[in-house]
Amino acid sequence: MSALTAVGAALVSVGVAFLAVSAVGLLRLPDLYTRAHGVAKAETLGLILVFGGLLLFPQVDFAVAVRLVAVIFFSVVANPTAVHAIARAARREGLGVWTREPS
Amino acid sequence: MISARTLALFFVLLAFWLLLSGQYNALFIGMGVASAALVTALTHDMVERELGDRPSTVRAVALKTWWFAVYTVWLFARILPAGVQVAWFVVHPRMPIDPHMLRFRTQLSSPIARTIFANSITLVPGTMSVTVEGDEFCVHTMVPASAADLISARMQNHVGRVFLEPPQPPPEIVWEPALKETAP
Repeated sequence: MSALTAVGAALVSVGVAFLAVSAVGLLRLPDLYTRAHGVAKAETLGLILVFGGLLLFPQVDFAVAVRLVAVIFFSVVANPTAVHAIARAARREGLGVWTREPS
Repeated sequence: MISARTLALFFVLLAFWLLLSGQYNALFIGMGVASAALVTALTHDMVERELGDRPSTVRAVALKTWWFAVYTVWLFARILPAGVQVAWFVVHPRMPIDPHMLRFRTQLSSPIARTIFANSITLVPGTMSVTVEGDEFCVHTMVPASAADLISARMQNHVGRVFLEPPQPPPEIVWEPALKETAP
């Protein structure tokens, strides 16, 4: 295994860890808004790391690389947009914010 | 009259189709041309409207490209700490979060600038755009300190420069619920 492949494998592993944390956050965090944070950030970062790591594998030729970069680009654009749509819908329905101390 | 921008849209879509399909025979290229033409026909009005006036000079184009590159590097550099911070909140046994909602008005004028700004708010650490109504943004923060770049207008200016908009003064912030005064 070349050094580059090892780095790629490490990036994919870290990315998977972030995707897992995003799933845990979905269960642990207290309300819709905080859960949306978890998905928007941990999952976007996880996807960037997984697909960025895959780019370093020797089997990836130019055509595949273009597709991987396209996945990264559309994740960075679409993920926050989807999260925004959900959070906006919640806000319009009048969902309040979970706070540390009841106000 | 077909504008340069409409043509560019068509060719970018066609290039994307060809790269994704990887098939270079008459059938696939024909379907690609048809798809790109259909999407161009459906969206070019919207693209023209949302992107606003064409930059008039070569200098303006170069400046916009440069500031867009700066913005992209800045944004990707912020995604890493954003993911790490939210992961820390999630795995921490007590979840040290103190969520608030805040509202402010922006002076970014074009719809596309506001869209990119809203997207940026969600990707940088600790903040998420919830609603955008006209120039009023409603943002959710995990901890109040996350909003520092919004309060100082640094983030607005990062986006504004791409559209050659002038720097903004720090906006007035309305917290919800109100921030408790912390003793110094």
